[in-house]
Amino acid sequence: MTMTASEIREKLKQYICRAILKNPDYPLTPQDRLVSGGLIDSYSLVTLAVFIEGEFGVRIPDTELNLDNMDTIDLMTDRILKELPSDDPV
Amino acid sequence: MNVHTLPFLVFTALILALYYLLPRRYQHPLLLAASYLFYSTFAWWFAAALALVTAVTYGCGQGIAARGRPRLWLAVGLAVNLAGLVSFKAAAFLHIETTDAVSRFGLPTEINSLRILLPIGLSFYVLQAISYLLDLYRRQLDGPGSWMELALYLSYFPKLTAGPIEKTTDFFPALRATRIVDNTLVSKGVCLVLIGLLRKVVVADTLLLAIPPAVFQSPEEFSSWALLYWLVIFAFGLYNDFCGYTNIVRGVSSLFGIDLTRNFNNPFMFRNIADLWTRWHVSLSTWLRDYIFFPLSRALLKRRPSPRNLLNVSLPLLVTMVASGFWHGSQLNFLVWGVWMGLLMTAERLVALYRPVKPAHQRSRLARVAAFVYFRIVVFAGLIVFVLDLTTAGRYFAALANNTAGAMPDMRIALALLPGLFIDVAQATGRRETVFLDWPLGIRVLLTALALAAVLVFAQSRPGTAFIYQGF
Repeated sequence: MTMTASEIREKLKQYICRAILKNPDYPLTPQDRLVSGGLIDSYSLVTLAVFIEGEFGVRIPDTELNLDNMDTIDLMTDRILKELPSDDPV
Repeated sequence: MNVHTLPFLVFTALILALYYLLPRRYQHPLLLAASYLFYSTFAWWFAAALALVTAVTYGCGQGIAARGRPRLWLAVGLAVNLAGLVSFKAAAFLHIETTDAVSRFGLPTEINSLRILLPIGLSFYVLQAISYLLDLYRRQLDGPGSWMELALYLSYFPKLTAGPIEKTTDFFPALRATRIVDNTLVSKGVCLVLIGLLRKVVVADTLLLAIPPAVFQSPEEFSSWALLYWLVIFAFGLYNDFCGYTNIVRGVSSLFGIDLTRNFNNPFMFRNIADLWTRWHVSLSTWLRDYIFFPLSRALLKRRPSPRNLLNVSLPLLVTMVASGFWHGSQLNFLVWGVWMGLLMTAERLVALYRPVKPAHQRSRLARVAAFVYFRIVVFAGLIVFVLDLTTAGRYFAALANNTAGAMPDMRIALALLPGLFIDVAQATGRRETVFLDWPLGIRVLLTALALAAVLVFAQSRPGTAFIYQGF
């Protein structure tokens, strides 16, 4: 079964608010800047990478755990979707 | 040949002229020849050491890419590069210790057999050689590339002596990409060079040359206020020195159509220690994060999935920061500094693991001010250990606490901070390092004229200093 972008966003949001921000009610949006906005740091990026690997089966290489791929939930979702098999016919 | 001197500017101008006269296929050989020529101006055997590192890394890279026994070739490549780095650092440490011992017996220390030099830039290009081998092994690089590409990756003269430490995944594609050097890129390059010269020649040299040598040798002779003042002056001097160097070389590289990594982002505005390392010497922090911190953290988290496990939290931070300390030097003070930073970051992480994050508008202003003050105290305490040997650092701390009477330092020196602060504020508010290029023409002309005049006057009025980070 393929996950949709909105499902991935929701799972990421729940994990970040609960496990990283320790505040399930945090009003986080998919566009909020997490790393450059000071909400999460390098320590949390690796926790997030391990979560993504376990939850979605997508291993984001260490050298790609950066602002380009991980600064917002939208960017993370795009990066995950790049690796997931697509239902769309080629 | 230092990058802020006239010979370097003439050298760069000549290479640039040749670069644009030659067809594309001859541009890389020209850059390589220029890089080795530039490096040889420090010492011929520096170039020989670099060629040896390049040859070994290339050979091992071919072995990894051939997929016969990639792990063996990776191990050989890493071992040779690390052995080179460790042995030179150890030799430099022994040299310092031996010189101290010899001088204690009243013997002359300028004996050739005691003079063991660390090749300038070795610590920077060895890290890049390691990146190349690991990225190739982990298939993050599209093939090993040509020997010319690897040789340029390690030796490209604008970044050779003190970085930035480039990623293979940025530098190799940049070498292969179509290079269009238009007015925008030239403006950016010239602007960065000018900012760099201003930071180095006007700000850094003024601050660093003003510090009385006795401050770091006999701190007992100074009041607490003076010690604190000169420490802050040193910190800003070090920042403008290294940031100035990086601006100059990035500007020069832009003129060749090759973008280099930004190394500084208003470092004194850091929110916490983790944030400091995303602002200060970013290319080194990124290397340490990508090749030590992330792999070690990931491996530990997979073994014991709890992010709150003390080993998972502390070990990667301590190993990473001790490695950072060792990269700066093998003297004990660098290792103590690494442990200090690792412990501070572990404490910071532990607090973050248990404290819920509130939205910005709900955070207490007092808590933010307290955090601002706390982080500057602990980082400046670390700076004392970083700069001085442990005995002198201990005396510095004692003198800071004792507050003996002493003359007030010359406060006018702090005026030299102003051009650097002006640049920092403009870059932070404009969110772009070359924000000045967006300003009205009249103001740009005026600022350029003022900056050039200041650089010329200050460069003429006294001998400059070498870049501090070339010593690492």
